[in-house]
Amino acid sequence: MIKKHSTVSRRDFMKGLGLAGAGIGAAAAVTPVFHDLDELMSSSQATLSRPWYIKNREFGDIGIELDWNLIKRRDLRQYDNFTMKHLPFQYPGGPPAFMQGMESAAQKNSDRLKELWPDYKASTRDLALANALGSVGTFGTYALNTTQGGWKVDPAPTPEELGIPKWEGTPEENLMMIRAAFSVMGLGPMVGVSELNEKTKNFVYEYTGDSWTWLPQGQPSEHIIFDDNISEFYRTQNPNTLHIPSSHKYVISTHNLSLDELTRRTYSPLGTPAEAISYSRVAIAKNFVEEFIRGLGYHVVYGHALQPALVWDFLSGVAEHSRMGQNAVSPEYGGMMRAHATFYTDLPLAFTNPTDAGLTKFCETCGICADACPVGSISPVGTDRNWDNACGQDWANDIQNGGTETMYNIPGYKGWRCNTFSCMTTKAACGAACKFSCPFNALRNGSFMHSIVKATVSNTSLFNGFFRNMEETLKYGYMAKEPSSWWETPEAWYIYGTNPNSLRQ
Amino acid sequence: MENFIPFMLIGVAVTAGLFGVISWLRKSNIKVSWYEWLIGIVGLGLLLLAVQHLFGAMSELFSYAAWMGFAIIGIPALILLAIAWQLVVRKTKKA
Repeated sequence: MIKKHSTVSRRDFMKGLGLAGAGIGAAAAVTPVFHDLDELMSSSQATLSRPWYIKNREFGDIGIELDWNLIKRRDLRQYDNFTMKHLPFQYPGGPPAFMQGMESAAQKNSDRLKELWPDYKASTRDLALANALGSVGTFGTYALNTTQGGWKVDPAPTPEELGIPKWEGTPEENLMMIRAAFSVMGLGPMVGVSELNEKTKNFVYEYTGDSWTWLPQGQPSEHIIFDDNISEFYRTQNPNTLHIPSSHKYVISTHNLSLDELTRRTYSPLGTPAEAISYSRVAIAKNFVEEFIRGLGYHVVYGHALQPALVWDFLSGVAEHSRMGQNAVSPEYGGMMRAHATFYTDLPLAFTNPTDAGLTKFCETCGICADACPVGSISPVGTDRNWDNACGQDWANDIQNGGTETMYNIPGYKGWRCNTFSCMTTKAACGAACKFSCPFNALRNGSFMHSIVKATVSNTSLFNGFFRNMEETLKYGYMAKEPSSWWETPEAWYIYGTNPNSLRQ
Repeated sequence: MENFIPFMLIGVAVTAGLFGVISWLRKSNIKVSWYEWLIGIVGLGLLLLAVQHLFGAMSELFSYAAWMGFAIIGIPALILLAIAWQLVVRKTKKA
């Protein structure tokens, strides 16, 4: 006999309702509320699969205080992004102090490595792999050419050229579509979208920095101009300009994930190049994205050095502000999201909300990254979020406000900043120890503990200190990975170097 | 599905163990009070979590974290199970 009606008594039903009510009440307190199906469908949850404990913030609320009077388009013509043309002269004490700083940083890094692994000595194979990754990564011309303009690939045909209609999808469909397409070229899994408007345009530099990734044309800096009268970006030389159409109001923020096993070999020769290879991967992916969007009948401009990329991560919920200052931390991937990839496009995309997973609050009591930094570039626990310059510079002397110095930090937010002067003396030889020691780097589908910790941190800061101590007690992070052990661990030889559990969309 | 076989075996062992304990309790006519059940269930739950952590952290390639976490969660689990066991055994002896 098929039972078509419930045989639950009224009493049991009422009891169940009470329990369910309590459960629903508890869930409602921590999960976002949708008023109707349209609202649900237009939310980022409809298009991004994220853990339940990640709460949405209102658009524009990135979880840290901003002073919009101080946030202006930056003039970074004298900002030295590893070209070493300006930095030694801007460094406190000038070139001799800078040289001394570099020697000291190398020694400190070597001391840290010796402290962790007294018997480790870089072997020929370690150096061979490191140098191979470095040659193809940011140390070689490969990334330079493809990342910032250099040799352009053959353009894909537009729908117009093929005699077919251009792609028409809803913003939500388009977001799903680019996530799918990006997965092919190694971008993601987190893909966020935020709006370029009159307010957020202030995050785009007026003049980009003096960047060595802007070879081989030898253009040290570009004037970024938003143009209402064009539909496709173009560049000029003498003067060096990049004209971005104002119609490109959808900003895509994504990353290439790190080689997580090798990057956990911080301080060793393997750490830094394992991180650098990500730039080359984004350099390839960038061409793919440009041609894919062109093939849909829309336009895009890639923005590697046009902005502090983190801010688009914050605005789109890809990541949250962290103690590291110049690195964003994602609820799912921690600091493992390596080279960023930022695109400005006119392809309509659903905007994704900024998030609150309690990460910034966790950073207040954690500070493992600050302990990991061999040169003390990151503020230790005890330094609260603030408005100050961490490089020892005086905001009042900002060159773009009539002063004499180029600022090596960005004003206008209450948070943590990195002392980029001392950070640069390491030339990243520490293997970005800060990023790869973050407790939120924990892999998905591993121990149940990570999910419990992340869900708890998202809802209360009560146990943050305990969780931080457990991270060290259990030796998660870089502390348990002897550099050469990678060669003896076949389980760690993932294709492309990234754990497959981190790669699922 | 990486650890399907070990977890299937654990499932079989836990089911058989629970069945055996409950059968023995009934056969021996032993009444177990609610708090003895609670302590035992919490102990068993913690033990299962300790095992999951061991396998999970091993798959993350953090063997130190795997064994240390297994000990941190597993020892209290065994203590709770031992307490529940002793409470029942001592009550039986008194009777």
